[in-house]
Amino acid sequence: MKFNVRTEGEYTVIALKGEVDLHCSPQVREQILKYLGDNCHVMVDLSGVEYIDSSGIASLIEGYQLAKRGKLQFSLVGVSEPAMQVLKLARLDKVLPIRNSVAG
Amino acid sequence: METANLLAEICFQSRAEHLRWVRHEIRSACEKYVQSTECVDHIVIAINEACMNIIEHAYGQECSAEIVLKIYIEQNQLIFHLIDFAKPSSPDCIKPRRIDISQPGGLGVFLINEVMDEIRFLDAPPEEGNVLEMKKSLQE
Repeated sequence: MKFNVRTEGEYTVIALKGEVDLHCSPQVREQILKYLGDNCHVMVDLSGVEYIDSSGIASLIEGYQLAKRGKLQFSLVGVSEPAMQVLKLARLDKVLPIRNSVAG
Repeated sequence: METANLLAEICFQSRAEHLRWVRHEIRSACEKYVQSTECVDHIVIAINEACMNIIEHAYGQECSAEIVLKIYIEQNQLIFHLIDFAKPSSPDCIKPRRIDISQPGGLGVFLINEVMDEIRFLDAPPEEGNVLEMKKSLQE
C-alpha cells in the first residue's frame, strides 16, 4: 500500500493506493488520527484502493468518530469498487460520509 | 465430507504480510468454480477476515505459528476448513453481532457471517487447535 497527503482548500486529503489490510492499516490509522489531531478536516481518497479489510474500515470509522467529537469534517472520496463492496457488505455505505470528488 | 474433493491446501505462517498472497491463492482456487466475480470477491473478503482473527486473536504475537486453509468442493458448495494450532476458541467468537460504529470490533465476524451460508467450529483432532468450517453455496 502507498499513500500520499495533499491539501485541497480546507481539507487534508489522504489518498490510499493498493491493498489496505492488517499489515498496513496501522499506518492508515496513524495518518488519519495525526491530521485530525492537528485539527484538520480530512478526506480519505479511496479511488486507488484495490482491497480493504475490516482493520482498514475500522481506521476509517475511528477517524469519523474522532472528527465528529472534534467538530471536524471527515469524509471518504472516490470510493473504488472493491472498497465500496466491503462498505456495502458491512452496511456502512450509508453511515460513513461519501463524496464523489474532492469538489463535492 | 465423504464426497468432497480437495481443491487447494494453503499453508502459511501467522503473519499479516502473508495475507496478500493468501488472498491471491483463495481467488485462484475459487474462480474456476464460482461464476460470479462478486461472489469470489466476497469469499476472499470472508476468508481473509477469518485468517485475520487467527493472527490477531488466536495466536496473538506468535507470528511463526502455522495456519492451514483447505478448500473443498462438494456438490453445489464450497467448503473451507481453516485450521490453527492455538488454544481452543470459544464458539461465541464467531456469532454474528450487530454493527455499532460507536463500539469498535466485531466487523470481521459480521462480514464472514454475511458472506458464508454456514460457519461453525468442528471437533478438532488433538494435534489441531481449532478447525473453523465455512460453507458457501454455489447456487445463485
